[in-house]
Amino acid sequence: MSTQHDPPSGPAGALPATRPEVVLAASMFVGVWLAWPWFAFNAFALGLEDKAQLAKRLMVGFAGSSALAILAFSLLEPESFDASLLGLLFDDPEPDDFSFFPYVVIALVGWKALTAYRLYEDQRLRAEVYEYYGGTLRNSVPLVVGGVMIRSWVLLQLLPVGWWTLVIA
Amino acid sequence: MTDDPHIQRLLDRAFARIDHNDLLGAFDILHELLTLDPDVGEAHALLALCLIDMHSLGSARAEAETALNLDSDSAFAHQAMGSVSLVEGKLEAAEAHFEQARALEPANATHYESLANLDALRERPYRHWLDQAIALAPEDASILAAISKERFLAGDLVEARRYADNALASDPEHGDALLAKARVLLHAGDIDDARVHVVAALHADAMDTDALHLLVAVRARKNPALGMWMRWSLWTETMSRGKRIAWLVGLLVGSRFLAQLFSDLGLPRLSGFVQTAWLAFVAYSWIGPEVFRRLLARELADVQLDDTY
Repeated sequence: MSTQHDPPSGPAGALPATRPEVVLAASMFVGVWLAWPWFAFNAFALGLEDKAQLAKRLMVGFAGSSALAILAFSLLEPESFDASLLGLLFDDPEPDDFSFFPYVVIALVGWKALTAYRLYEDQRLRAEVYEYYGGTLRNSVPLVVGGVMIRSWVLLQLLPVGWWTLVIA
Repeated sequence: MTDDPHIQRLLDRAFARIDHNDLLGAFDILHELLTLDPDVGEAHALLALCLIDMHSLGSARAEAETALNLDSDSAFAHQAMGSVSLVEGKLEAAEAHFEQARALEPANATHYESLANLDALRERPYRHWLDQAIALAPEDASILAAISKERFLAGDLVEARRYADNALASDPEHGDALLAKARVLLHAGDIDDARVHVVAALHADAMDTDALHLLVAVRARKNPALGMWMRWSLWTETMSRGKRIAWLVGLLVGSRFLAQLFSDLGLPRLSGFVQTAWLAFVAYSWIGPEVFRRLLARELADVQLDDTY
């Protein structure tokens, strides 16, 4: 039997893998529309074993976000619709009258953060092992910066504004 | 075990080299041994363990498979394959091999220790494995140190100190034992003594991640801002994954809720304060790890390793 060994090498990944904390940053500064598909892509790039759990987390995340977004929309007065939505999405002045709308949106933000943290935690250890064994993790910060720059275009012009805007924001 | 005394001598030498963290030395001996007799399963299994530490997982798996093919009833071969599976992140496969090793060699404490490591990684209770291991090897410094760490993380500092002392009494130069003691000393505020123990552990193994973390923790205690970060990190690290996420999301939602509530109550300054505090926390926790890494590099430059390393 042979005992010939090559020098130690890292995992050979065909797809570019990114540091999970950068993808987490994308979920905070850019939005779900970029971060969650990126988490899914990164899972394949890192060779994450449990894809079923990834799919479950994404589905539960979307279902919960959609329910909260629909609830938030049902609380809006039709005439305050645009101002409230834009105000919450882009930190413009908020409506003067008291409304439960911002509180539901805070719950929505919390739900999306919970999903993002769980996706991040699923990939954190795997990424460390990947790097430890010679794999190269990309920084990908320029992608986050680019995402921030086109965020408003994606949310308000690429797609019609609706309750789903709150989900993917 | 082999009948050839020369082969057995080489195997013993390889084990001794590994005990002294001389992986390349062990690798060379095993290479020589397998050139003489390529069918020594134990050598293939040991080579697999060497290759794991040399970051060559593909070769490690090949060697562990060869060991299992040569003797599928070898506990050591299952131990090696379990270790390969563990670092590959294949935790169920690792568990199956460690369990098989335990079934084949129920009196070997190493298998219980491996199962404890596996369950610790999965954030499951693992104390019962360590109790079984220590019952089989009451003076094993590695197991005593592992129990000390488990007790420390559980907040039982008295027991953590007792087991750390026992581990050091059993082997005063054991890296894990030194770290166990350093952890307890650092928590008690005895920073200088903790540093002595950490540096001694680094002399045994300069790449010990736990030792490096503790070394930075020792330094951070002298810097209040970094010390605060370290306390936060240690506090969150001792939590389960779910609890840690719940805390972070709770802080996010809580701060936003308070800011909105103060705004609705006509207290804009208080609302602004909450938002600023949250932003400061986010910036601090974002910068903290990077500052920590730089501190680590500077600290490592100061660590003088002895000539025998």
